[in-house]
Amino acid sequence: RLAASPPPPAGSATTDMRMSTLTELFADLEPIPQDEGPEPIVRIAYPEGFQTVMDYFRRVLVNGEYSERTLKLSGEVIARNAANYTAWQFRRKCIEVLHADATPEERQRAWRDELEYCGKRGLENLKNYQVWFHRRSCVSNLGDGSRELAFVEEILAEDSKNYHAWGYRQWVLARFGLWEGELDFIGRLLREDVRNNSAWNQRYFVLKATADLASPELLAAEAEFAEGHIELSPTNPSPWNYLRGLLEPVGYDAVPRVRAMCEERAAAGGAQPGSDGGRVMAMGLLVDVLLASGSREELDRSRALCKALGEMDPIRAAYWRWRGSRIGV
Amino acid sequence: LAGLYTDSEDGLPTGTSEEQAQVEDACQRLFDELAGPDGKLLRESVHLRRSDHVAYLHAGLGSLGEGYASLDASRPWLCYWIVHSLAILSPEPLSPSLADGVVGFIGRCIDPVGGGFCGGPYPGQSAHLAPTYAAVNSLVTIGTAEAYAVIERAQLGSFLLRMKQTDGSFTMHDDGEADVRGAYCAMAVATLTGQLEARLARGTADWLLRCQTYEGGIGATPGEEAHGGYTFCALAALVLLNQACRLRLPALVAWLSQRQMAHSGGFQGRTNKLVDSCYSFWQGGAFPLVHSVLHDLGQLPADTDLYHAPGLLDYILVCAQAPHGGLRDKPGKARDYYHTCYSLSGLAVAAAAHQLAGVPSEWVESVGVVNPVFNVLNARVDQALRHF
Repeated sequence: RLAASPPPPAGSATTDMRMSTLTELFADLEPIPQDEGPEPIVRIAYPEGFQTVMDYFRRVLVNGEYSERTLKLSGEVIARNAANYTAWQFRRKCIEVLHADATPEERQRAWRDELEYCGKRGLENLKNYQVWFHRRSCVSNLGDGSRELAFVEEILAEDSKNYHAWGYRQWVLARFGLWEGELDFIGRLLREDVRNNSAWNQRYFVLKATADLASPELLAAEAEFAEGHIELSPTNPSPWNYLRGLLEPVGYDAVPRVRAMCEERAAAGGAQPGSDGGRVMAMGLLVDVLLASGSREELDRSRALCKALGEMDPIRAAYWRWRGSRIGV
Repeated sequence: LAGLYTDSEDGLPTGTSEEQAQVEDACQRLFDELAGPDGKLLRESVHLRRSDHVAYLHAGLGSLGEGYASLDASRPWLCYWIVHSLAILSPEPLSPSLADGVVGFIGRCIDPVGGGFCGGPYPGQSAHLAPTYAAVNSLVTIGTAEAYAVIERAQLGSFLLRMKQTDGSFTMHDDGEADVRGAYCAMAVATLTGQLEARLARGTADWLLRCQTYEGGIGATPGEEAHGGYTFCALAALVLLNQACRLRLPALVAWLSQRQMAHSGGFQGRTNKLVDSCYSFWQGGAFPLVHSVLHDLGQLPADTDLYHAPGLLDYILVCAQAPHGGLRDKPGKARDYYHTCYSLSGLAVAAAAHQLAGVPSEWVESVGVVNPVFNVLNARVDQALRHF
């Protein structure tokens, strides 16, 4: 999601500080109320305590105080709104300022504590940009990503397609070179759900970083891998997209059996009640395969396939019509 | 709209297919309620409940419940979602006092030190590209002299430049994450305020192109999964940079087309994920963009669609409208202003499609004409471009 998702029920935050403790801790400061102006709009009915915490946070921002007590305060802000990016940024500044003259060990300790804090918040806020970016900062500062793959795996066990988790995982892999074992991890996820497109995307990511995507051996092996998964569920778009993505740049004749497989499935080779046996998927890929060959007959066939697809896949009729019109142009 | 082909379980149920089946059932129930004796949707009996939505939008413009505390760092977004939705539904502009309220509030969100707009009044929050985009879009939608006057161009420009990274990407805020949203927000805001210059643009197209995946869609950063929201952002940014032709266009169009759900007519965000009304815009809105690129290349006639606009409209009207105003992700989810905005934006895009056979005129008449690059009323965009 581009903007924050719809709000969860109120009162789900765990806060560490009682209001009385907070006002005591900041007794020397005058809080700053939010400037809503004379004609307030989009006014939020903040839960109890929210405004007090924010009023003190506004004050410490204005004062530029980065201290132990303001670090605590930032935690109170985040507990009430984990999407408050200013508070997360403020935390990082606090850690830096507080440990500017510290030993490397002390600094490491601070970032480790921060990582633990982040982990707790992470499990409560799976779809929050700030938590993941903060984690990245902590791990960067620590220079140690050894526990991160396990953390992400935990998150993916809850939400196997969590976009932030996968993006973060990619960062960890590349940053720390922890490629070994990743294909196995992907394999495990695909065994759980062959339709997990994030796992398919990850496979491409790993191979792109660690292997030669033009190597005939690799292409043959990956085509076999994809085909095996097509067997399991022929209407699943993920392995078809994977096949196309791998072969389109190098040419479909790099792995001739792909065309053979498409021909077989396109001829209604696998249809059963309730499933077309991957016929539409196969016909779609065959259009691309035939186009690449370029012979007059194959272009004619390609055009005919587009026409048929317009009938069999009516939600995409306009698309198939256009594709057909572009063949041989 | 069930054709001869629909996704099926192929005898191997998994989490993905089970969830998909549940959503299809929920949508089917709604379609069935509105079907004629032949089992087909009786479109004439389905209405766009404008006045309900307008009432919901006006209520939110005033005040929001406790649950919206999680959007306390996104209040310019709330303004934009509401003001833009009203502009789509209602030809009359906001009342002067409401317009003043919006303009005044947005003005309070400016960071007077570093430029840019914050997620809420300053002091208290720091500048961020997303609320900056939402703020500028809100002001452009209101389109009065007072609204334009809120924008201090040079300061805004310096904020945008500060977010620019050496690899061509943009971070969302100081010490923040960089992904394609940053590039889009920066390009859109810069274009509207007449300051898209070489320094800001340098290297950005190259970086964006790296985000197109093997599937043909575009991810948040190079390597990440193709996703509707990021695809829209990258494509729109590239259009503004005049470099969208450098994308692998056939692959992009194929991916976009594949994202429309055969069963419900709406769009999913990624392969094998569920339909969500917000993708009515992120995916649906990508079509006019890619259309214009292909048309400029002589590869697509002007009056041709590449997606099924009536199908998308069916989803929005039947499945996304909530009973008492507002629109929702899908049946079973609660309405909210984000989904209201992007469902209606998708509606506006689809209303401008060419192949609308069978769609009741009531669904698409008096729907504001939206510029899909900015997702702001076209007339307001033109006005702003002339002004700045």
